[in-house]
Amino acid sequence: MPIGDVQIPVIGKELVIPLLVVPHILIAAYIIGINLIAAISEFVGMITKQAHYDRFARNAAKMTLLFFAVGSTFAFTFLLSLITLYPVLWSYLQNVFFWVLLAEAFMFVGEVLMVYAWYNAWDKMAYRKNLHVVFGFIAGLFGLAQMIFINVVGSYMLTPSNASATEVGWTFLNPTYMALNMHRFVGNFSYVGFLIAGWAAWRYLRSTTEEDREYYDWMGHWGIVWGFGFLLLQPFLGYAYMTEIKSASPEAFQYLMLGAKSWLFNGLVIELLIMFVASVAYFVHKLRFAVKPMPTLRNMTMGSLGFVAFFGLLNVIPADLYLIPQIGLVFGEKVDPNISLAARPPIPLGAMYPYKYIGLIGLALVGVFALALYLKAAATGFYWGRASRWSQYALIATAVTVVLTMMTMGYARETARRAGNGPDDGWLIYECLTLQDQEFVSGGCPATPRGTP
Amino acid sequence: MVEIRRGPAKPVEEGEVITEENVFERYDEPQGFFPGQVVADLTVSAVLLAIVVVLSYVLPVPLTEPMDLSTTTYVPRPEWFFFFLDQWLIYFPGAALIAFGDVIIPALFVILLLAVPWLDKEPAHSPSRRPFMVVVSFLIILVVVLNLFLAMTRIANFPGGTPPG
Repeated sequence: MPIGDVQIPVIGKELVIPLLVVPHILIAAYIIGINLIAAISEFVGMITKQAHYDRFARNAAKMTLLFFAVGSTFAFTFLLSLITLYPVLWSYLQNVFFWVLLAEAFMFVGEVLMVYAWYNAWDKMAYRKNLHVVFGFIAGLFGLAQMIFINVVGSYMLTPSNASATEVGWTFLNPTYMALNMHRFVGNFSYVGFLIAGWAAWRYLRSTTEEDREYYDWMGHWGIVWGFGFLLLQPFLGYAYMTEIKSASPEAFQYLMLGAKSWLFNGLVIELLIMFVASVAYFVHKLRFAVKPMPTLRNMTMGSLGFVAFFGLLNVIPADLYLIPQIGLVFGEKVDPNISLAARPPIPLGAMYPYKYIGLIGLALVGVFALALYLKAAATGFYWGRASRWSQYALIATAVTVVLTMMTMGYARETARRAGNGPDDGWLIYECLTLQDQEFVSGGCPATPRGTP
Repeated sequence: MVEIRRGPAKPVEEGEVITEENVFERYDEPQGFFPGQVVADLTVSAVLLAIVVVLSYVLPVPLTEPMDLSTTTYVPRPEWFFFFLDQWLIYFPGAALIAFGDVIIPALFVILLLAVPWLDKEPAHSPSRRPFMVVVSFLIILVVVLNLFLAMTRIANFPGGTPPG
């Protein structure tokens, strides 16, 4: 039996890849983000002479090391599975992206060398911080380069470039490559920020010493500033990304936004609502402990919380009650994506235009306002170690939700390739290589140029 | 010889008196337009002109096909330095929104630039003393560069024009 015809019992071979990739991506994104945030923290600590930045950076570097091997194990196992289960796909990718994959491998080597050097030299180079912090930044940039290289492959599979496979440079510049880079770059920071906040909250609740309570209270604040700050950019970058998908793979766009998998985006806006409300609620609580009392500022932030909840709820309203057809959760008819009814759905407030646009832009703008107020208060200082339990639960909620968001959006990107090749098939490479039989389309790859006459 | 001053302005010392002799020793004081500024501008202009002359000789722009007035497939593209604005049209499609992308938002940006002296009153030149303005400026440049690349990839992948959506 050819190796590509191997069938995995019970779960099937299609499920093997995500089972390995999901933990890999969650760990890899964590490593890329935490490395950069840790390097920046060390730099800030060096400038401000505040010890908690350095303590945080050092612990984060240690966590990077610990997770690196685990993440790489998943990556390697995933790669082995991909070669075994989808040899045609891998062979094609290897041919088109040989240089990308080679560079990616060297980035791994560079990152692991720099991270080890960075962590191990922490004490030895305590008096040469200027140089030491450079180690962290270089390690972070290696990680970032890894993501940028592998995004070539990830984006190409959904939106292959309008260039022959031999034109190496042009195969990089597929329609969603730049947008995906931007979306993931910002997403990594946001994801890791919320994870830091959640972890800090967990440790804060278990702290027994005053020193630890102060430190983990501060760490929760530091994480949420990163998480929430970068989250504010995501609606715009996500819109840019979806716009590119719409142009390059319109059927995939329809499938995701208006078709059978549109429930993913209903899920996304619920996750956004939780992260926004929990973050701004945390800000409101934290402002009680500002060194310089700021009642007006706190009242304004409380108003922002109301607006955030309003705009968030506006986003959550679905366009119809045909919610999740895959599990039979349907009430009534589906909006037909092929006619202009999409602009006049059964539930008018669920229409994308103008209500979802208003909701998303409103969320982002009010979020910027709330964050600016919070940072203004943070500039004068907080009393650390006095936060209430529920404020820490809010941080934990953001951490759990951001993991779910990563999984939701990762699934959305990959499942989009199920569109456009009949109900029982899909694409490994969009309009190029089929999912079930791993066969190339008759015209060869890439598919015929998509430009309109 | 024109003196090109570098580095931060000298701090005003207590009791120091600004006179006609020492007034030009600091950046933040008014300077005479002639001859110092004129000579500096002319020098830079002459260097730029020389670069353009050399480039036009070494890398001449070729003559392309004569204009075809009867074509219906020609896709007009802006010059590369306007690609980032071209990209905005993708985000603001249709007759109702087009003005936002290419008129209203750029106009607001230009007004913002005019307002910079009132928004940033920090007298020092050093970027480390003006973190807010540095971050904002960096973000603006980032937006322009990323949109430039987005437009480039779009044009490369849709040579016949972006499909309507």
